[in-house]
Amino acid sequence: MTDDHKYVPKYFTGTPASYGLVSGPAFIYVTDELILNNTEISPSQIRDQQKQAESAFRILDLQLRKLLDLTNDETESEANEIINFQRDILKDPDLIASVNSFVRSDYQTADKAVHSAFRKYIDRLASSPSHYFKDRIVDLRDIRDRLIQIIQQKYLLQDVQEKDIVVCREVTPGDILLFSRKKVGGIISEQGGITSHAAIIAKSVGIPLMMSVKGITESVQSRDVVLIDCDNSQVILNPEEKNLSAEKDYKKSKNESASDLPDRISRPTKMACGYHIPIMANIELVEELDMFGSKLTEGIGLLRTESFIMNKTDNGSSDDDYTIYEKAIKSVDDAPLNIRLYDIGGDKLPGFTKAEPNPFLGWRGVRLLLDRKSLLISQLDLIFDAAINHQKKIQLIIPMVTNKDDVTEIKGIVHERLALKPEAVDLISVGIMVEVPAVAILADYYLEQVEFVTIGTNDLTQYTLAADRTNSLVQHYFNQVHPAVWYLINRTIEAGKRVNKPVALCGELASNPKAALILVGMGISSLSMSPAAIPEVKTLLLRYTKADAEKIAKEILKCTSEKEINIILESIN
Amino acid sequence: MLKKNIVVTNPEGIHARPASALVRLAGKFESEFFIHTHGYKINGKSILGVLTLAAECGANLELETSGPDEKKAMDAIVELFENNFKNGED
Repeated sequence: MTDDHKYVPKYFTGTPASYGLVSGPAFIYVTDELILNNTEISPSQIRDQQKQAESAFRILDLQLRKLLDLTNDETESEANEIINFQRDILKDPDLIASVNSFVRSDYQTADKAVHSAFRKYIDRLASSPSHYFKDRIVDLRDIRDRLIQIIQQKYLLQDVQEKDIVVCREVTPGDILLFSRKKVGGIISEQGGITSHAAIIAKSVGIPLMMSVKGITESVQSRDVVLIDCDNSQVILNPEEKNLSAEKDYKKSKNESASDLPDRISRPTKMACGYHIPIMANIELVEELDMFGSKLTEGIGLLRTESFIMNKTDNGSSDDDYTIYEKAIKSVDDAPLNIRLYDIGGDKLPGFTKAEPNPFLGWRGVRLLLDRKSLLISQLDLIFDAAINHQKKIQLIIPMVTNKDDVTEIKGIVHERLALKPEAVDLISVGIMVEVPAVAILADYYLEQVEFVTIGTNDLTQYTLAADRTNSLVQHYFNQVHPAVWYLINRTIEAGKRVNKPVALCGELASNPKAALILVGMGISSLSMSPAAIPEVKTLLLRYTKADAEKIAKEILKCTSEKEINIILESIN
Repeated sequence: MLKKNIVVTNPEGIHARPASALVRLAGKFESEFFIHTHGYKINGKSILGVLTLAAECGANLELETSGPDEKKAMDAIVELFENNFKNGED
């Protein structure tokens, strides 16, 4: 690259997934190309490199064990065999000895040593006349490359510095927490839609995150200066002086820094008229409990549990599920705790290789739980134990409900398990997610079955508007303030009022302060959102009375187009 | 040290599942366990070693156990072969 490259600003557009304006040197975090380290280590590094390899073996084994937990039903026995075979490989004494020896005798780095150790076996299988044994080479390479990737990710992460702007192809919730601990300035991802879980986490830890930035990983080189501007949905490579001074102004105007975020979360939410609306937190990862735990004074409106199974990686958390339930209980104290049962899609299950053509219309949520009852039962048992041991009331939420029979069946299983732990009977109540139009339309009937409902606006929006929320091509069709979405929300709230049962809301919509105001006006019982969004929502609600909110809500319900809705939203300040 | 010749009789040979069963069984014993074939010796407690035997149905193998419980280990391993690796599950 010539020097010119350094000084020519280049603009990219993206989809902001959290808030902020920040610049810093680029840190390229791309690990999908396996380029082995060819450097020779010094004798003093031997032990460290061996430890890196050992830890990669352990992490991969932990990931595989978690997958096994998911598939312990009879029907998946073939998938179980594959995973067990892979775990046996990770325990192979000769393989481990061989890796250690390549590090010790040949001074290879851990990733190279893993590669070298597998070579012998792969070569031997390649010379076998049998197709079956030749085909196992693929399995061996798969394990090998996953080990190498884990090791290389660690190498990479050793180099990230405070205030760096991380540039990556895609970002997982685990990555964001990791970077948050490294105190990076912001994150830019080439892929991703705005409601992905990564975005939720970025908001909750207060890291500026820009997603769907096409071409960024190819254009940026390590340590180039990049600027993320969430307000204007843009990323600037080699920003000009005026851009950087805008950043300084932004920092000055932001008188409340991220460090006092937890305190701002715990402020009570009384509206101008004295009306109290509980503002609860959506919690996805145990790290969020560690970060905000003591400040969640109004409760947890949605504890997502699927990441306990899917994201077990080396993010420093060794807590088992029971410990996480306990932590959640301690965080909220007497305030409500809503735990959503595993909401997983079939695409995440091992052995389920037949990719579904439409995963969002497929085998997920309650559908999967009913087909994998042992998974459901083990979760219920742990929650009941935690409830009993802490004498804590817990509300269970059934995900992705689309018909009454499924609710009846889940309730049946809940009652069966409660019969075995009678001390929990009075502590457990059951509700459902309202996240498909079918349930919102017939909300009256579903409310007969359960004690409360919670509206999930991300899915409700995507199913109402037929816009895949992870598909960036149709992001502009995914509009949570579409009149039809408001209509369905209002319909559900009205149904709740008729039978005097709570209707809560825990979607992204609630984190928009203006939308939150309208929801209060419609009569929502409580709102739940990413912790990072809570202060802003509270600040706006304090300025209005319930009657103001009701008036605006009435206007919203008269709207027939997004344009009309936006005019009303803009008038709120 | 004990040695015994054996013929693989299960139709699929020592595929992944039988290999897992064999390694897990062998791992329960203190004795060392080796498999010899065509002048080639592998550690019977190493799944990659066992897999790379690429032993198909009809393959001739020489089993070797050596250690304090070598007799028990050999008996159990032979039994597993004779049952076509069906009862080696935990």
